[in-house]
Formats: sequence, C-alpha cells, structure tokens
Amino acid sequence: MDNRSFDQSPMQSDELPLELQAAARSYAAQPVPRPSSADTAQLMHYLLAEAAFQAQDTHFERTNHLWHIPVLARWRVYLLGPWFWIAGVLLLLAGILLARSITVSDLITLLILLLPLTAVLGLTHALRSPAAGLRAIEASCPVNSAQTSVSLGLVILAFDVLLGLVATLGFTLAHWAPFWNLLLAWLAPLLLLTAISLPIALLRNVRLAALVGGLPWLLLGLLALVEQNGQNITRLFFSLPQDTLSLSYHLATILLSLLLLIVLFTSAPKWQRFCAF
Amino acid sequence: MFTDEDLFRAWQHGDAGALETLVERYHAPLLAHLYRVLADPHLAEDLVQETFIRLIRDAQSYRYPRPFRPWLYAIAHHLACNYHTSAYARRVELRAEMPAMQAREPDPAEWFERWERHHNLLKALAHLSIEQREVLSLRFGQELSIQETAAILSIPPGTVKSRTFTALRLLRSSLEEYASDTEGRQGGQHHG
Repeated sequence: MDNRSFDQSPMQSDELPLELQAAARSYAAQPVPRPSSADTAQLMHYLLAEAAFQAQDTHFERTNHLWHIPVLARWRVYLLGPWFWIAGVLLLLAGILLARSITVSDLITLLILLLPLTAVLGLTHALRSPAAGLRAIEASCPVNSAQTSVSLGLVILAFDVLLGLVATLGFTLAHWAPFWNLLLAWLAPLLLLTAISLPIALLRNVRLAALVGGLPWLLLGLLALVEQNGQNITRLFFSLPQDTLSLSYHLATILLSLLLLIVLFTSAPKWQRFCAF
Repeated sequence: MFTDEDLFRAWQHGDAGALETLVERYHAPLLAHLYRVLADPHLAEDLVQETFIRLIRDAQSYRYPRPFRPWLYAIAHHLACNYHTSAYARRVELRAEMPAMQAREPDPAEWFERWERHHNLLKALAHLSIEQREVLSLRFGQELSIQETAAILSIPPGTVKSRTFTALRLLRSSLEEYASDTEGRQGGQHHG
C-alpha cells in the first residue's frame, strides 16, 4: 500500500448553496488511496481463509453446543448467588403456607399459579441488564451472551420443574391429587410461560417479559381463587386435567412449548445481534 | 451484470467467485471512504479488511433482497466509530503522505502545490467530528443519496442535511484560513 496511487472521485453538490459548493468540490477532489489488484487479491485470499475457519467453527458449534449447557450456565448460576434459589423456594412455600386454611382444591390452584410465576419472575430477575463488568466477562467468553442467557433460562426452568416435582410428590403422598394429572396441570403453563417470556426478555426487555409472561397468569389465577365454585373458564387452567380433551391440550401445550424452547436454544448462537442487551 | 444483492446471496450459497466480485467492487470505495473518515491510509486498510471479515461472519443474517451497500457501509461505520471511541483521547493524527508521483504527473512545483492543498484539506478536516467527516465522505466521496446516508448512519435524513451544511461551513472557513496562511508564507518567500 505504500506505493499506492491516488485517484479522484466526482462529487454531488447540486443542492448546495453556491458558497458551499467550492468546499464540497475541494473535499471531493481529495486524493484517496487506491488499492492495487495485488492488494485486492491478497484481501480475497485472506477472506477465503477466514471463511474456511468460520465454516469449521460453525460445524464445531453445531455438533457440540448441546453439551455446553451446563458449562455455559455454570458461572452465571454462580453469580446469581444462593439467595436467588432460596427465594424461589420461599415464594412457593410462602404461598402454600399462607393458604393453610384453604381447601385442597385451592391449594392445587395455588401450586399451578405459583410454579409458572416463580419461573417467569426468576427468569426476568436473572436476565435483567448485566453490569458492565459482567458484560466484559461475557465478551471474553468463546460463546455469546445470548447462548449463556438461554442456558441460564433453561437452568432456572429445570430448577422450577424440580421444585414442582417435589411438591407434586408431596401432594401425591398426602393423597390430595394423582401424580400425573397434577404434573401435567402445572408443567404445561410453566413451559409455555417460560417459552413466551424467555425470548421477550432476550429480545426486548425483562419488564415486558414479566408483564406478558406473568401478569395475565396472575390475574387468571386470582380470579380462579376468588370464584372457587364457579364454572368460570379460569377453572379450566387451574384445575387438574381429568377428561381426555383436557389431558390432550395439556400434553399439546407441553409439546409445543418444548419445541419452542428447543428452537430457541439451538438458534441462540445467531441471536446475539438482535438481543436487547 | 449481477446486482450486489444477487452476488451476496450466491456467496451465502458458497459461491466464492461472487464474493470475489463484491470485493473487487467495494475494496477501493471502502478504502477511500475509511481513509476520508480516519485520515490514515494504513488504518483504513485494516478496517476495510475487518469490514469484509465481519461481512463474512454475519453472512447468514443477510436476508435477500435487503440492499447490500448500506449494510456494508453500516458495518464500516460501526467499526470506524468503535475505533474512534477507543482512540478518542488521542487526536486524529494527520498523515499528509506525499502520493507517489505518476509518470503523467505535472512538474514538481505543481505536484507540490497539489500536495499542499491536500495537506491543508487534511488539516481542515481534522476540525470536523467523525460524524461530520462520515457524512461528507458518504455524500461527496461515495456519492450516496441522503436516504442511503441516513440509513447507513441510522439518523434521519434531515440530520444528514444539517450535518452536511455544518461540516461544509466549517471546512470552508478552515480552508480559507489555511489558504491565506499559505499565500502569506509564499508572499514572504518571494519578497525575501
């Protein structure tokens, strides 16, 4: 490039006042470096080598990244601190303990209401805008922050599923509800609300995710609790699935949500440029 | 002749020849643009290379028939801004290199005068912000429309117009000042 030649380009100054046209002409007449054909060939050679490396990396990412989930999420889980997880358990316990005097049916409603809410609130807290230091750590990682955030979301989901399983086991041992029916009753909204709020938290912001994922569910749940004996549509969401139709749509919701979450996770490497943070 | 968009789509499908054509089309204009913005030919060359690398890395995010040229220049714009932010504390270093003299060049006196004009222009451009230099380069160097410039810089067309006017006014006053300095110096030399 040191022996580059300089060329001059034409200008576009028709709309300018007369007194500025001379300045525009001087500017446009500025000699600029012009690459030789050898420079362009060298650049092309470099780009093709880069493209080959890129293709190798993509292949590696595609074949390995499912195994990265625990590795990616480990340090983010650690940074959340123990109180995050304790708060999740406490929220669920507090809801159930506060409702000691209520009927078993309402206790089940409360469990179905609280488990998805815990997941949505946990997600929005964990995915709120990270501090500058955290961003710097993420930038130094071999994977992007969308991947780590999605992985963290899945870890929180797994934690809430575990909580739900423990609670369901308790209910089953106390002969309050059949295991599989209760499992389906909370698992379907838990997965669906997570699948809805996780991309919103990543692409827009966590407040909107909490609003979309949590608020309607909370209002529906409260309505279901208030109208204990009514045949309100809300009872449909907060009671145990008994008939085939009810079981089918719970299963369909679970499958659809799982599909959404899988798509979200597998496409996470490409999401970085669209992320809100 | 294939459009840029067709060529990039072909590259997305693995046609290296399409990429080569695009590089041949845009290597020189991008180098000129980044040189005008950063006033450093070596840095401009580095950022041209980086721009194309980013283009390759982000290739899968391109959706045909999104206009290719504004996308390419937007990548260059972000890289130039990043560089400028990182080097903000340092002032833009002027490198008024003597261009290599061509066989068809006029006599040395005229060539020197051209160089001095170039040097004055570089000094005048150093008074402009990077945003103003970018607008001038895109509008008068690359001959892009106001709309294309606005799309690349992510600003409204009205801002492109006002920024262009402000930049040109600043440039004109600095150029007049340096021209009168040069004339004064030459007058002094002739007088002596």
